[in-house]
Amino acid sequence: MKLPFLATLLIATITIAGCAGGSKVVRSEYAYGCPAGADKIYSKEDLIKAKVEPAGSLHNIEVVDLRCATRAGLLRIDVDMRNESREERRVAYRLRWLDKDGMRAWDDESWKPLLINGNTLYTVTASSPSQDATDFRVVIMDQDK
Amino acid sequence: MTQSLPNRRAGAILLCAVVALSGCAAQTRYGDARGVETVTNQFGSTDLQMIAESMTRSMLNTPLASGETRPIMTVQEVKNKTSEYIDTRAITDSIRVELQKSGRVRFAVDAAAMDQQVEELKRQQSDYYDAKKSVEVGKMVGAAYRIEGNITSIVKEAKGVKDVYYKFSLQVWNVQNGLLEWADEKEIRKTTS
Repeated sequence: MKLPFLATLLIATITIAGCAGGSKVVRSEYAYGCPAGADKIYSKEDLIKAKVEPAGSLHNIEVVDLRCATRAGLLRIDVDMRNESREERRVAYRLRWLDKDGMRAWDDESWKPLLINGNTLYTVTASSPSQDATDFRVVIMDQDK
Repeated sequence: MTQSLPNRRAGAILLCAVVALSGCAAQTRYGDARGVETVTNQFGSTDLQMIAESMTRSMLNTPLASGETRPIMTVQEVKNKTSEYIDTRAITDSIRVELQKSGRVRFAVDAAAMDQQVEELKRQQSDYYDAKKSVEVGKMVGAAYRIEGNITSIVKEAKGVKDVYYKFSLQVWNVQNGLLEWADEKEIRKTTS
């Protein structure tokens, strides 16, 4: 009677230790509060790489942080962009909304123009248009060309 | 069979004219309907789209439009207090479309569409229609909330620089008790030099 109990305890301990590994992924489909989709995300850099899509070349504009939260059933996103140059830069951005299957969940948003002063951090806040839009991509385009 | 000299000359002139005209003809191309439009600093498509999107997303993040009850709203006038002509109906139409698509709000017929609604109701009561398959009168649903707003601008011009500042305000009022349930603003600044 004693041996099966000990064996069960050992298996349970191994299972829990395996789940609490060094990976920073909180849940399999979420990373840092943001939907991960099919992407393997182990760091904030991975998250930014997976979620940010520059439209063409983007000089001196760096996305330095990305935060997500769910409010009132909708996805709320903060994107921190830094202008690494001394001069003011103009960019335009929009979000592409995807559903749980990775399909487009909403029509193209309008490009939103943005002025970022030199060596300044600017936070863009966005909110999903419907509950079907469970994933996103941030698309940024240079407007100084 | 050989062409005479005047004929050849006429042909050459005609060819030159065709080439010259085709060179002058304006080229028409399709563009990005959602692109950043900066042709002039007057109110444009980018301003309209940004305002509609900003107002809709803001409203959807409030308890008013986050429940399962899907409140019934109606759109009233957005007053144009700027010095230029702005089709404010186009702004409210875009806001209404985005809200309706979100699935969290429903819209009752507004004052502008009421005549058409009443006309259709009356038409279905006529002898031309099967009474069993016609809609009943007196079943319309009133809105619990009404949306109204205004757009203002400040224009300044000096030494070849023109600065235009727009402020769009939108409010949702409770029809029953007259309380202001939600309000937000969107500011836009455009400078031409």
